Amino acid sequence: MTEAANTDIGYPQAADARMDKDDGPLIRQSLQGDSAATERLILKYQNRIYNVVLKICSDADDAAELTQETFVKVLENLDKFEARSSFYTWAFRIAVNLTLNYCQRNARLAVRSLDSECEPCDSQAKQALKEFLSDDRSPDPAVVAQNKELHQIAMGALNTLDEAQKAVLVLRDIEGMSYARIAETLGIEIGTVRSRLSRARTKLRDILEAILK
Amino acid sequence: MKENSEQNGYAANTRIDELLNSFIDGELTAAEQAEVEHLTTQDMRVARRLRQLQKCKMLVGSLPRLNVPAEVSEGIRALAAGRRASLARMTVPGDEWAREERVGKRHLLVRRVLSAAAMIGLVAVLAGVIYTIVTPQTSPEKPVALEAPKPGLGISASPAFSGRLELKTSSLPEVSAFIGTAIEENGLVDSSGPVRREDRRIYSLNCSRKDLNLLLANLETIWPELDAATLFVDTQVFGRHVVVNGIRTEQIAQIAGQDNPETREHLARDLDALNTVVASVPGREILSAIQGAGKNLVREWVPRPVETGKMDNSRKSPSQAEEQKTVRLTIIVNW
Repeated sequence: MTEAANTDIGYPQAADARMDKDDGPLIRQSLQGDSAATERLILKYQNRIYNVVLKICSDADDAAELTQETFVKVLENLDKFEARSSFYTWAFRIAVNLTLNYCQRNARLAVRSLDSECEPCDSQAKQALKEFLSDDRSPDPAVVAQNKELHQIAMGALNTLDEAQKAVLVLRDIEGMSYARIAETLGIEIGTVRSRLSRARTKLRDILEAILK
Repeated sequence: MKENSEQNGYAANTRIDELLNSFIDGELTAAEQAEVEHLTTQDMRVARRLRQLQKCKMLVGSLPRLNVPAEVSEGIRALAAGRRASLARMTVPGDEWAREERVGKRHLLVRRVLSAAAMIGLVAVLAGVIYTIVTPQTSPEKPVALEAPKPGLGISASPAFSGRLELKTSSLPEVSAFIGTAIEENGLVDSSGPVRREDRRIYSLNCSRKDLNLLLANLETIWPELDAATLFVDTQVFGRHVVVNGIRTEQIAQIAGQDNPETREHLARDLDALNTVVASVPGREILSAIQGAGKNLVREWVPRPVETGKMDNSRKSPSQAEEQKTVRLTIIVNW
């Protein structure tokens, strides 16, 4: 097992294939009018889609609206779903496209800070970040997941990225998609995923370093 | 030559970053993976960078996952039920499903209508207030000297503007010194002089609109130093006034420039609403845009000194000077 695998706390990639396999029968039953199957499909993905959308658009109300709109589109077009990609990829493609379009439309009224600076952090948060970054041991993901100060900093730093970078980063680090899956979801080349993700994560690193200075 | 080496260095760093990030994500070929392992054992800086990038990934991945709001979930389910109904309706004529579909659609519609209404409302308020401020007025906004009533024609003087301007600052000595100098330079020193207390300074002005505008133009530079600025505009009802929070210099001049007391009060209320809305809007882009417009307004209509040549307007008869004093303003500067 590589070091990378230890740090991966998103949804495990290995689950991708299993997820796709599970969705097939649900979709077929749903298309035949089985409401329980439709509901299971919705329950399976609604929170995950909501979280991805929320992290990209950074607004809970917008995220709720966009999640709802995503499922409206999914349900409206389920009959036309041809299984050329998996249902999972298809649903996330709809969600991310809706979100990116929404962000683009609202770019003129964007409330995101134009100077691309992270919100000022309080001393407690700074201290938490300092301890986190300076610790040479690999921190326990469960402990990090409980640290609210670090979350506050992470959200602030994430919000300084542009939406396209955020989308790649969120699909990888939160949703745990493989590069190939991200490329399929966003309709871009794997090379673009690789470079965009690298730029996004490097920028995050620079921002976190800057906070400590 | 140096530029080339910088470009090469940048490209190399970019490639290393891509390698490190792909390594973290387990997206490298065996050969690339070996390359990264070699790099990290050979170069401590690369090893450190790898650790930092891993931590970035961990930080984003550790962000809490929230549940979709219950109302959204219900809305989606209602829609799903509606979809099921449209399939079922082909064989079973049940109104139950149709009702669920309607509920789902209504739920969505209500949310959309409410969002749209809120946006339209906000835009309407802003548009109305901005329109009031920027539209050319039907009453002449020309140099104030022209507005003074001609003596002997039996026309009563325009209603005087009177009010109180309260400024809060954490640097009282500097701000009050600046204001005092500006008042002095504009020849507006009251015979009684400023009232000095430990925590405040009070200046009483009795001047023409033109003089007020010149003073305000001077005070504009000190405005960013203030913690708060509030204008209390006296109304026709004794003891009652309209409060304009977050007032700016050009707004004071605008309010004081209104001849009609009702228009003045109306404008004061509008500006207060505008300032409140702007202050509550998250992000400063809109604020700065409006402030930008405001600065243009000042430039546009705060009259600057002009050379009058042979007309010699500087010497006014005492009665003329007295008649032009249509502004009574008390400036209170607090800690």
